[in-house]
Amino acid sequence: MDRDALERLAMDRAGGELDADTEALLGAYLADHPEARRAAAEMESAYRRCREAIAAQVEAAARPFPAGQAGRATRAPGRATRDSGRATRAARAPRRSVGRWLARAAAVLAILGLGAGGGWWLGRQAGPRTVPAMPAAPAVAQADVSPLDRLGPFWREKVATLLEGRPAGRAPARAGRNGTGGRWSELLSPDKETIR
Amino acid sequence: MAQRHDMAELEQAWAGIADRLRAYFVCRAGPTDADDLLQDCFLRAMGSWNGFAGRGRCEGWLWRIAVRTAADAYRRRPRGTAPWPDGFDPAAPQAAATAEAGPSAEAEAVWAAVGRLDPPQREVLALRFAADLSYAEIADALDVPVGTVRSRLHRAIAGVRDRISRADET
Repeated sequence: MDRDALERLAMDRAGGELDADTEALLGAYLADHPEARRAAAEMESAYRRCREAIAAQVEAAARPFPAGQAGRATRAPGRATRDSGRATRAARAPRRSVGRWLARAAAVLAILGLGAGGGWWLGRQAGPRTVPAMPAAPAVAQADVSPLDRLGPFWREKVATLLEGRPAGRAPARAGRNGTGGRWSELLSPDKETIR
Repeated sequence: MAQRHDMAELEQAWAGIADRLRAYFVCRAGPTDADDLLQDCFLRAMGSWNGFAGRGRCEGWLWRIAVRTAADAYRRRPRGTAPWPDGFDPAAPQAAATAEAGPSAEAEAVWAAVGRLDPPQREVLALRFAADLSYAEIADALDVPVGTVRSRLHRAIAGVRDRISRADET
């Protein structure tokens, strides 16, 4: 049998388009011809793969047609165009909803801006407000308080003991970071020189 | 009164094949344009219903309108766009996918191979597998003999099979 004819018969059989007699004849022929059987199986496999691939794609894009739309349109032919437009608008709903939310956000911002601007304008019309001056806090002469006086009695006594134990006339063990003196010298106020 | 009865016939015929019509348009033009084509097809049927009513089988007439609608949309597509509908992209990685990659990859490979077929062959495949029409119904919708339908379908499936086997070899 011609290969094309065999493949067409196999395709018809896979699609259920063969009558019973022809199918029986084809089966008998394929039983005696392994090469033809292989070719027919290959064709039937390709047929099934095509059918499954297209069905999968169609199923992935499946969305039921709006029920009753055809009925509404056929009952009122003049409404067909309007229904079509409504369906088109429904298809574009996601894009329109974003635009609607943007419009709402812009309206809210505009209202807030008007409120803020009006408040500023009203405040300007009322003139500058005078704010009563706060009573000045009593100034604390920080310069008169030596660092040693800021310590509690316990630590003051400790520091005094340490300073007394230091050899007289010796330079501080470590110069400060800026080279002007150590931490101990910071503690010494002029009247603490007597401790040395 | 007769007019109302006729519209009920159209409504009944449409309700019976609307899902298959949409599947056919999905296969021809992709899911994005399928709904527009379905609406277009319905409006065409509404517009020419008075000239047809009572002159034959309504379903076959609707399928002929659907085929013309898809063909017109194919001709009207912007110049430079791909000849295959949305979702067809032979350059995509999945187009070269082989059967070893899994059933979905295989389906994608077959789908890409379908997208590379000639329009008449793809048309027959869409009517056969997406619209689930018989050879006689396809022949009626395309206004061609049944033998032509068989021949186109055979060439289409053989073309897909050859492309898939070539992809499997590479």
